Amino acid sequence: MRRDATVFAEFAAARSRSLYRAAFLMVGDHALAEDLLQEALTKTYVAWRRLHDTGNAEAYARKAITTTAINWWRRRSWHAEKPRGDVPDLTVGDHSDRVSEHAAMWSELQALPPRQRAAIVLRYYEDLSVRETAEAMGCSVGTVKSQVSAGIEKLRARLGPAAVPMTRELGVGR
Amino acid sequence: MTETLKDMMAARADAAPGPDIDIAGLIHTGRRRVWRHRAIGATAAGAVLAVVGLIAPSVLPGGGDGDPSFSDGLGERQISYASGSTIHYGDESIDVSPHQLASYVVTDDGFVYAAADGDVYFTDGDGSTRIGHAGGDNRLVADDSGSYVGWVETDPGSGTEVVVYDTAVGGEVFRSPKDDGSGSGCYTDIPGLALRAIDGDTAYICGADGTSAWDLPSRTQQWVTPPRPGSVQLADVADGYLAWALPDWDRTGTIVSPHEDADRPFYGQVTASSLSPDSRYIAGIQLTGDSWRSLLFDRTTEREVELAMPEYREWYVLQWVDDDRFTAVGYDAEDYEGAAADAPDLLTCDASSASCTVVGQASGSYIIHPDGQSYWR
Repeated sequence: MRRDATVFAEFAAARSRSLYRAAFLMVGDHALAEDLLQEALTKTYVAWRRLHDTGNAEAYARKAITTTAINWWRRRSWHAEKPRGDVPDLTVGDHSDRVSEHAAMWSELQALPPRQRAAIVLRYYEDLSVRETAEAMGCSVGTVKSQVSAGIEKLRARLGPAAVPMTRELGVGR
Repeated sequence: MTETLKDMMAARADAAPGPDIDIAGLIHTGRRRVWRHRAIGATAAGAVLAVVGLIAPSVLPGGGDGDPSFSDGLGERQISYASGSTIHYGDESIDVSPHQLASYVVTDDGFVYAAADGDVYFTDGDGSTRIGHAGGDNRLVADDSGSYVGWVETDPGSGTEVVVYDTAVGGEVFRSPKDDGSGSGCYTDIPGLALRAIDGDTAYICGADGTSAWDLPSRTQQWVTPPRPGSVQLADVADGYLAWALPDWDRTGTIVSPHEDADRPFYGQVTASSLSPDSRYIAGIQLTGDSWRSLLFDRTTEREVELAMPEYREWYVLQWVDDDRFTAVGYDAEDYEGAAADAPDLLTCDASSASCTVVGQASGSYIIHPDGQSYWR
């Protein structure tokens, strides 16, 4: 596949929205997610000739988003868990305040270390398999499992077991 | 359970405002990264030729500090050559001791080299990993970009196989059927297979029965018909165009034809050694009587590109950086023969403007080009 700007532009236009969503979930900020997407697509363009088809290009872009996000956090010394605002205790099972519940869970997700957050986003939002998640993160399958488990356990500890299903229910081992 | 992590993430993602991405801008940035080269752009406008000594420091070999590592990939190609146990890449030097290099190529992920004993190694600057054994002529083959590298694995007892390794994957991705050596060879009487070129996902393999194109992902084979009868030799392939070198040395020339349209070939008075990535330019040599000279041919204009560069006895493309730009090495008569003389010049050239810039000199007079050819002696 030649580094064809037209084909790449079509790919970028078609997949930007989807890739942006994952980027947004990983960084929790619109402007930062746009920057992340821009950088990931630029890397994808540079690698375009060796990606052979747009399926590979999307996987490459997703990997670029993930590894770049993790590196950005690491470089900025944000790898420690981010401080949370006060999060109201949830009465799980009470569906009357879905917005509040989502807000709490969102806050807790963003408070996770970046690798745990990325692993959870890739597994449960992008619906990637453990192997695909490992490829996107550039790590081993075992690391993905441990990162997901640790992240889920932290969410459960803070939000309550009913709010976040057991990792088995979520299919960590798939 | 109605509230789950998945629900929350989907809701948040749906509610996000969406990206405002400048695609044209990022393509421009990407091109700059691809094309960014040590000296390109560093010289004054209109200065198509710099003198030796007017050197862009960033392109000088051997000036790196610390241990170079390219574990994240090479990105834009830098000028590269090797000598002894050292691969020079941009301002970095990679020591692969105790191995002595016989040949090497550059992929998007690092360097693949054949040692003098035929063992093939990959290095990204952080140690070397043995990935196979070439034997035979130690020749390696790679595309202008990408992660495939191939060689012929020779077993004197059982024959030859072509092996293709993917440096991005870190493993062998293709192995041809074995040639037992009972037939004639590729263009010569030496039996066995020869890997002529890799172009994208296709490996061009020559054997006793002719030349075939193997699609690497699907492992399917398609025979390639030479543009004319006789022992024309496949010299290079780029962007689906095949360059066939004519064996008649009194009529030096190259036929370039698209794979699927061999009836409308281009014939140029140059024996090709390298096609540009888009196949527009043919770099090679032209024989006239007992002498020869290096030249660059433009297939679209059917004219030689008269590059502005010092008068070398010969010069060679080291690597194509993009469709127009390439790095090169220029030899005076003496240093090509290995005698004590000035070290070869390193150049960056732009075929579209017919300009070259001398950006430094190689360390040593006997250097190995990143073209996969064996220079061991």
